[in-house]
Amino acid sequence: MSDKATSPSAGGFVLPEGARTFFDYGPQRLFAKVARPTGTRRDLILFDAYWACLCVGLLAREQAGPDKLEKDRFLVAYPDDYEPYGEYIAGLLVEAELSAVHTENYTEPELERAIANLLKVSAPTRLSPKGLGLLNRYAAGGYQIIREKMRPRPTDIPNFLIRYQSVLDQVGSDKVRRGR
Amino acid sequence: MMAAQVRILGWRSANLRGYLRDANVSLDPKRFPIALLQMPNGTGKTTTMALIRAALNGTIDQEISVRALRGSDSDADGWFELDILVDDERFTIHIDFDFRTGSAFFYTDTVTEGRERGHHLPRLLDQTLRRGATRLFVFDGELAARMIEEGADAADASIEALYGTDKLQDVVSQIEGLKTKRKNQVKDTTTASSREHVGKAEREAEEAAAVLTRLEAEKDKLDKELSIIATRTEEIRGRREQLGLDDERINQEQLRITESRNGALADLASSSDEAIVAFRSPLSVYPGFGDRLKQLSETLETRNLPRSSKSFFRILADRELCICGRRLRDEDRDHIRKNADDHLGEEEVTVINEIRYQLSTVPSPDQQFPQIVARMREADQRLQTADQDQNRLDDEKQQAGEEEIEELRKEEAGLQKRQVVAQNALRLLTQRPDRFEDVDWKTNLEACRRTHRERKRRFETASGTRQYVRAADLLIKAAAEARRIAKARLRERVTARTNEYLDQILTNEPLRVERIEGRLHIVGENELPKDSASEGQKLAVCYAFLTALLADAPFSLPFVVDSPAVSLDLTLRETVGELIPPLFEQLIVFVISSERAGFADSFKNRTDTAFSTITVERETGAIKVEQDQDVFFSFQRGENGQ
Repeated sequence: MSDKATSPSAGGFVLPEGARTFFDYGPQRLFAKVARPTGTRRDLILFDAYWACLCVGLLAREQAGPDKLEKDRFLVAYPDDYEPYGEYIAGLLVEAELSAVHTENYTEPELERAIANLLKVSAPTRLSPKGLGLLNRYAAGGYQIIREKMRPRPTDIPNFLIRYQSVLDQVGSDKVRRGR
Repeated sequence: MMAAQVRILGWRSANLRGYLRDANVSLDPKRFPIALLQMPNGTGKTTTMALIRAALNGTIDQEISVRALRGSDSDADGWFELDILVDDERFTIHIDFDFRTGSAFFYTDTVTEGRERGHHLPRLLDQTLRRGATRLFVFDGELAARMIEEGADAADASIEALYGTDKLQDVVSQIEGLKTKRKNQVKDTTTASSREHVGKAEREAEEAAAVLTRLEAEKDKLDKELSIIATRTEEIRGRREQLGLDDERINQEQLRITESRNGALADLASSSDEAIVAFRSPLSVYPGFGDRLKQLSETLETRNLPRSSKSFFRILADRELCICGRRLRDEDRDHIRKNADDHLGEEEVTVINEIRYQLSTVPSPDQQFPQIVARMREADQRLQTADQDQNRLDDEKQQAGEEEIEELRKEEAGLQKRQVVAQNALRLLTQRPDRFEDVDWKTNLEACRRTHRERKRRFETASGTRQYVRAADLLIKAAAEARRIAKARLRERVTARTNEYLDQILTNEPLRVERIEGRLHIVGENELPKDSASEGQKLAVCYAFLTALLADAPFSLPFVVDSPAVSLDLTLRETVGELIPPLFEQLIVFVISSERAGFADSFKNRTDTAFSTITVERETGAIKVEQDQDVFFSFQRGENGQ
């Protein structure tokens, strides 16, 4: 379990520094400089940028320091579309944290305590401040990878989704090759 | 309740132009419900129609110039009188015209009251006539065109005028007036300091209302801009595709590229929306996440986590017996209490349990993100290929002399930039913010509506009118809804009745009314030919609509019409001639001699029809009214042949 000091969660989700520009965040949507493709109805919102980074961070089990995050939170709870997945996201954080330690050397009470430290039943995210802080750091870690692997920056939604899927594939296979 | 009967008994006039210089037309609607009045053009048909309307409405329309009514230069004044019967009461509306000043004065004669200044018809009838219903039964030919003309709303307006549904709008105006009056009363009776407070709240509410109006106008402007851009972009694309099409090879290639591009775009758009949904699901975005969650679930299961809670052991330590039934000693209790701290609190156990429960039921998503993206990738590839092919073909077209291509490309690029700017502005304006505190209410419609509501409420509370205004607003809403529902039902009913009449008069023609929305919308109207036969048929549609409307009206009204058959072909004249009489209890038709064929012929030998021929001798100016069927049908002078 990582004992590194976690960043203050600011009581909510904090974006990796630079993500807004990278994802071309404009008025209420990502990739705001291009027109929405004809026939599409959905936009990508700011939380989608956070989620994209978080997925890669969790998949790579890669965190970045608090200095790689924006100063303030941008959201305190999940947007509607993500709300049903709160427990799964919390589960993925716990899984990532447990995989960082040799759980077999942990006693049941130690393991239980470690898990409980990350969770909070009354929080809208199901995460304790410590858990949320770690989540933000995984997002920051993921953003560093995305920025590295997506050059030039994605230009629009289809372009982003297609290339993002390749990034996930690549990070997933790297992880398999490294045996984690 | 029986519909009130209105009948026209006749009219008289003096010193007005045409035959109206000295007219006395007497009708006997009981004996002759149908009156055909034959007059050459230019002798005063249109003026008579306008004066009948004026007498019924109690106002002189703008279409009438009083001075132009003058019979001869020596006449200083003149008059017109209309006799009508409303149920069994006789009314004479008398209009005096002063040609020097251009004024008109109304008088009403009744048996009981004698002559009174002004226009005094029974109230309900008067209200209906003033709302514009008169033009429907003293029929204005121009109205027929506006029944079907694009952008006009004559059909809707006619329904509202006759059935009085627009009175509900008057109710709304009255309620609005009462609200304002109430607010002003409260202002008058409050102290100076609270007046200041109320005044401030009112100014703030007004400011929010003004900003809201401005933002709504901005939204309309942006919507229009985007619509113009979309239309022009389509035109440009169409033009680019059209250029060079006289070359068969280019033509074939263009067709192939367009088809391929449209297909790719449609696939990309639908996959893009699906991919966003899948991207947001942890179980779908990366299938390996599902495995990780299952693994965590297994770890919790094999390690028997979460264990019992701290509180369980604390309660146990206070009991006489252990859960196994053994009696607990003090040292056992101490031991239990000491080890209880190794366990989690109730809340921590609950959250781990919840996570564990969720993980035990990790479902397989319907569609995995990678599969959807694979479809997107393939569609994107097709789109890129089509765009490359289009550019190559455009170059070929340009080389073949189509220089316009380059201009179109540049214009399209410019439009794309404008589209992005307008879309962003619209999004900024209309999108609901995550947190209202983060946006300026003067730039976002949702936030502005919220501020407007709050400020309005604050003002109403401050001015003590909140409850009153809320009740009034509810009434306004109810009145508007009642009007909407009444209009919708009347539209449906009148449409159905109109089509029933059309089934009778246009048996072999498919012309029917699709719906009434402002004007009459005719089924497949865009495909109709624009020839005169078709125009005549459209006129028949208007007559069918009018008859449907008037046949069901709250009053049994006469129908007065000027030259109804001029633009109809012979067959249609006969059917209209047969259709109209049974629908009205009194019918007054002004005709010119050319309408006798087909139309007037169908009335020949009817015992319920009076035939009159009115002429003005050119030489002497003598006016002759002949009530004789033979004279009517043998009258030879053409409408321009005086």
